[in-house]
Amino acid sequence: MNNEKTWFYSALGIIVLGFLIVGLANYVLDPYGLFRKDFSWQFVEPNNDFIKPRYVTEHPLRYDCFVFGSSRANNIDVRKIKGYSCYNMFCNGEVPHEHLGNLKYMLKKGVKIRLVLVQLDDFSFRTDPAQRLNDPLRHPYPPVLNQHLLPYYLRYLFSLHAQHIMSPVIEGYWGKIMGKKDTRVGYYDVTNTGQILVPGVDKQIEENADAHRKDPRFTEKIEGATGDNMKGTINDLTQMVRLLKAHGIRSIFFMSPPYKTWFVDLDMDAFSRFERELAKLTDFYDFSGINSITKDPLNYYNPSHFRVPIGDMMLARILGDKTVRVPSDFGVLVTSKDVEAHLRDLRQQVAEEESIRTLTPK
Amino acid sequence: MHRGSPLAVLFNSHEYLFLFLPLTLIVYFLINPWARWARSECLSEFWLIGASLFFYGWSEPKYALLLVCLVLFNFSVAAGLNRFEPRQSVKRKILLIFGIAADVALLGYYKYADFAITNVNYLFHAQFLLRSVAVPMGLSFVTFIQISYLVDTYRNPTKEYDLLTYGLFSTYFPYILAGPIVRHSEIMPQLKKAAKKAAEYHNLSVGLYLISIGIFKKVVVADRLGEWASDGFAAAPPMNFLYAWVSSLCYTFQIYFDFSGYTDMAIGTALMFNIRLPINFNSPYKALDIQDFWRRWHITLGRFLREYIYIPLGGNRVGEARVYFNLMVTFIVCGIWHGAGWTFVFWGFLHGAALVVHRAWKKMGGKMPTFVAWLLTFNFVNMAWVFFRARSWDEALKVLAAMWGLNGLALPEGWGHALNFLKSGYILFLPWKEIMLGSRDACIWVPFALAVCLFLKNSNQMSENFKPVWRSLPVIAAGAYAALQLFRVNEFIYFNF
Repeated sequence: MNNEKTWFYSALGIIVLGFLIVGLANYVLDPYGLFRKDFSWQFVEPNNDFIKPRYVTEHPLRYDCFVFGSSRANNIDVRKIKGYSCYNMFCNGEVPHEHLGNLKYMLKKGVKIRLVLVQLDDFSFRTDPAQRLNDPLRHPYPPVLNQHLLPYYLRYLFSLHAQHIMSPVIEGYWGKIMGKKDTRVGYYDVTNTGQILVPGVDKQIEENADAHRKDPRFTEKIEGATGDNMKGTINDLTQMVRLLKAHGIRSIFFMSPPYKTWFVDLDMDAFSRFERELAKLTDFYDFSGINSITKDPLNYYNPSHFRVPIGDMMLARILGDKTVRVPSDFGVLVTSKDVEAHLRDLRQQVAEEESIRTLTPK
Repeated sequence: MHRGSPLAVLFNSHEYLFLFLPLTLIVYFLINPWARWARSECLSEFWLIGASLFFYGWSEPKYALLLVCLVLFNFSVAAGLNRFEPRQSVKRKILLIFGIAADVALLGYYKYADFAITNVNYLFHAQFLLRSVAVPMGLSFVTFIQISYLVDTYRNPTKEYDLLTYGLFSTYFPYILAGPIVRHSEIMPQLKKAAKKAAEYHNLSVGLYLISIGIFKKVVVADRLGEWASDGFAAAPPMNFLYAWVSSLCYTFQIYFDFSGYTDMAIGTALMFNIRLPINFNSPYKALDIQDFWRRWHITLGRFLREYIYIPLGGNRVGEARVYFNLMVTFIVCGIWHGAGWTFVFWGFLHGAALVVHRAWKKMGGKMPTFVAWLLTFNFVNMAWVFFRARSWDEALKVLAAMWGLNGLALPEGWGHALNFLKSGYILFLPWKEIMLGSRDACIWVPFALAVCLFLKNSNQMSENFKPVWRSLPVIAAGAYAALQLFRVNEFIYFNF
């Protein structure tokens, strides 16, 4: 091949062909669910931070109550919230910066909101929101960022997504096309509750309770997030509280309860600073700490994620539902007046747990 | 805060590669024959200026307006310089100083005001508020190009250029964000040539070839090394010896592959429009002394500093002590130009000092074996980059202390059997995972990057030897592969300067 014209068009051909193949595959397999209407074809976690703001703003009058939070908030079953039509906005690793952005966008798009539940985590003040811009699982919906959709779609379509994501997607598609039995233990209820419903996992845990309690993940040391975005997070929460008040929206903030080993391994100084700042902004329920719920692995899928029945107890506590039995040591209402006493209690619980833990062989 | 900050059109983005560049190129070559036929050849210049302003202003339209004002201002000053007779040297000099001062003031306003306020606050225990103004991308490059035009006009009138050509020269998108720092005499005549306005398959092919090399260097090599460098520099102290060396070397190679990758894309892009840009890199890590390094690294910046700072200060036509002073001033300016921070100033100081030592050594007739010369130069450059990369003195000293072995030496556990006699309080044998944390693969990439820098042809040589044969196509495939990794967008390092 000596002709420069032929070479140039061959080179262009290689580029165009490569991009067409990848683009077409990404469009059809749609690993993060951006183009999908039917989520029964979803084989890995979709990008909830993209699809949920889009979905609720396309149906602005369908819901009047929203739960914001990280993947832990997935286990707050919105069907248990009576008197409201509620949607779970949870997204993997989401922090208040995204809650605020989504809330502003939803209000701008005319979504009528009466109640907002905001779940916060021990890592809420640690994650730099900018990191999400490079993550296809967590990238926000571009209009929320005042960005055009087209550049994002180009990025999404013309990218080689991670092998650990594409493998199960291809496997799932292949199995479904070939008529193999669907072995998934849960499903993505995006167009109804917004939750990932995992009855299969709950069944497995209950059938193998002893084995689950002995799962080594519940005794291992936890390497939690270490970043510092305290200032940014408090600023976002301040704006969020003001925005909710300005729109007359009832709001409840609450801290999620990780399993005790997770909590013991936290940096308590940083966590205390966060709760202290939060208490200045709003009262909140704190379900974390060492209590009868966080001590039992059976209440957890893993050390980070509590199970749905625990989510039901949390809802009962914060909404005052007396029909659900909630242990008295689970969930404390924290105000600016008693936050110091509460933090002292938490430190005491951690100290006691640590003293036992050192005596417990792993 | 990332809400509301739309992405800039970057060379390493899908918008640029698949929308902006092809569209600009196709329309440009479609317009040209028609414009010639209609005798309105300025249409193609208008098109490129429009495209360039769109490119520059995409992230923040007001910056495109700023660029337009800057161009109009400098063109007016140059027109004033051209109007005066050469004998009116005082008036011309005053006008030149006014023009340069205004350009520097603009740069100072955006880039150095907070640095100055921070220092004033520190020195006088004052409480002046920081302004936190975002610096328009590539402002340092834009102002240097403008200053060079004013000085060149002062030296030799430039009456032959009209505003349109000057406007295109000053806004041309391939080099506007991060160079090369071009001079009017090498670009404007090309922009004026009608023959340059027809598509040439040779230039299109070599341009595409260079863009492919550039994007591969950036996305596959530099961004990967950059992650390890970032982890290392952000790691909690104390760092261990090996980890510190690998982290610093990762940055040394990251900045080369990042900036030379960008330059390849800039040169390739311009070449597709039949414009030849000056080269900016020539295998800098092969340098055998620090002077040699600056002849190979960011060549157009070195040229600017030499011609517009070092020579006006007297260059090497003055006494030896004054030459040393000139070198130090030139490189301290170089440091400040790179960033508003004392670590950048110190990086410039180190390079100035190295050039002084090198000059003194040469004066004394000093020589050393080639390998030792290379090792010394490379390690000096590598250690100096630590100050360039670090976000603070503490961070730089943390890495350097570990590199100098002040935190002891941690060796891989596996070596413990053979080297057990070395075990002491100073030398420990630890699992590889604990020594390198998450950067174990970097130990493979760093020698690989070094081998590429030392033993393979650089992109200038590759493009000069380009032949339209099948075996050149894998380079295109590698570029396409890199372009498919663009979900993760990392800015080019030099966009910040």
